Amino acid sequence: MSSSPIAVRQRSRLKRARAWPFLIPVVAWVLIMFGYPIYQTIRIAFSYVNSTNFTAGAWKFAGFQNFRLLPDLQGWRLMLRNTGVFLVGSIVPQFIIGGLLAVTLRESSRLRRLARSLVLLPWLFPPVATATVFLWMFESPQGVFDSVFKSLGLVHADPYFLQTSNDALIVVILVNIWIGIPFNFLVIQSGLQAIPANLHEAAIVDGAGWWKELTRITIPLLRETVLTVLMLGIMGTMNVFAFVWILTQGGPANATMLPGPLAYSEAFVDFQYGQGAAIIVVVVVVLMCVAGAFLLLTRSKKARKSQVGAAPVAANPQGAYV
Amino acid sequence: MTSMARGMVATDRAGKGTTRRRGFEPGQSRKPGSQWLGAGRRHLGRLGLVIVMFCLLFPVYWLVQSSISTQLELFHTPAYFFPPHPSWDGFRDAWPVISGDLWHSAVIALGTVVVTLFVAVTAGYGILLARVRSSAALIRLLVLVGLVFPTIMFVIPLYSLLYRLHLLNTYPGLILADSLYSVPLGVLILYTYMITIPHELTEAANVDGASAARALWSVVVPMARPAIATTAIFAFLGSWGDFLFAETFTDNTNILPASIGIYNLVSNSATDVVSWPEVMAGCLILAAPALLAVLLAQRYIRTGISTGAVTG
Repeated sequence: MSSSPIAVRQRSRLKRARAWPFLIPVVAWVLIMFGYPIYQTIRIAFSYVNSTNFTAGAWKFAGFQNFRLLPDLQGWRLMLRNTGVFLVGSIVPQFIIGGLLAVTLRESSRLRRLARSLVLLPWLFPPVATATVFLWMFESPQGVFDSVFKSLGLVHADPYFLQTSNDALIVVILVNIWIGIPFNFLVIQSGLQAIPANLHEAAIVDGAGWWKELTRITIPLLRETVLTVLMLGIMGTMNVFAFVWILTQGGPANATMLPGPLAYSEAFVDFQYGQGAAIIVVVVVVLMCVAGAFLLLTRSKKARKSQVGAAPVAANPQGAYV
Repeated sequence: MTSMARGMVATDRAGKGTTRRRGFEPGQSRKPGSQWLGAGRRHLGRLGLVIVMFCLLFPVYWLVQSSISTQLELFHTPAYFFPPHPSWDGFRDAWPVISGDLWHSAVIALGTVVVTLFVAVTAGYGILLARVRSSAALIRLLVLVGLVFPTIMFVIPLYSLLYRLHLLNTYPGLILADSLYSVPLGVLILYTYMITIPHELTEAANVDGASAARALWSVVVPMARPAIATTAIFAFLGSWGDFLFAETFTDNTNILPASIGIYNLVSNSATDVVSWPEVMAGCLILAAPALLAVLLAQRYIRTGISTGAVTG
């Protein structure tokens, strides 16, 4: 504090020079773990690469051939349909259930505190454990859901959930919802906490009911949270691989095929690396559009954010609120 | 009649007026929950909470229940909610099969923790020293950009990279691949924490002539312990639970992690009947670190997830 501005500036310049050695590991890591894979994926997507020449590395340029052949892939069209159903079918319930939990778990009692920590479990569970438990529960004819469905009289023959197209897709969506709830819960919870308490107080004093409070204060101020959850939900869902692979491998007859399993089976089951990489490039382009839209939406929000932040201060002096 | 009605209206008005003007007194502050839910709605909320929690925890309960049942009890119709004769047989069968794999998993996970911490701590401190304007927003943007690339994208190029470096079926290869799960979040967590450490403390070390590296080691690292713990827990759990890289980059039983060992128990016996108590016991052991983390280190996990989620 006491040092002159010049000394401070000199010291900060010195400091900046000293920053570089510390940045070497992360720069190297990013180059190896992001730079190389991105470059290589694009290269493979535009080359003829299969099991015969994969390790050799001398790949013939293919232009857009790998992309042109994508619609002919077995499972491509079902994959597109499944992805849409899967996205909507998981993100909406995840958000609603996560939001409900966030609201009902706000009060603190010992039970609720325990609940708040147990809610996080599905997010941290190893995918193999998750998938295997669900595999066992939906096993037919011995699994627990088989037994429950039969004793409720919902089915008369063995249901074979994971061997029936539509049922299998529903099971995979259920598992994804289960995994995604904790994340939605936490993000919405921190979004709720970020709303200034005096806004709620002002609403109560003003005689606003819970509905008005919800629609006029909470939801508008949660806009950014909702966008965050939606975007991360889309990305997480497009990233799905392990549990689908363990539960169904995209089957039966591609009924649960999603981008991840399709790319993986192209590359590591059929050894058509070029096709696998092409699928991934398509996914990345789609996700880039989603991320771009998100950034645009939150940036336009930021301009208004300052006004929202100033609102309670400006509102307080007004007689109506005090 | 008329006067009474008028009187009522008058009191009503007066009542409304007073509530308006009464202002916010601490004694009248309602519990946060009641702002949302009136008495009836609160009960409804509680009921919903119980139902949702039941659905969320049922698979975990079923995992535990199945691991202490016998195959015969599991195949009983209608299903037992709790096994009539709980036994440890599942664990006794599973342990010899996966204990070796658990060791491999532990080595890989701890290696990932070390690599992640090294890269993330130095990166966090480096960015702190570089004092780039709005670097927190920049890192968040980079993490977001990182999310655009699905994990599956890294499998093909990393396979060819590890093949060329002769790192397939080795610990370093898997550790490097698994660091993908934790480094971006780790940098974000560590930087956002380090920036809250009072400036005078790192500054004091510099005046004393301590080098930047010493300042990092003896001042910043001890103070950033919560952030380091969060990063370490995420790195461990991410690597411990990894399926994709382990399945693709290993086929040697000397290095197979437990997640693959358990997966093979189910997938290899596709023709036979799966021994579910054994498999469920194995899954419970596999999930033990996550269970422990949730029960004992909840605070760190919360910070980690919410740091990762705060974008823009």
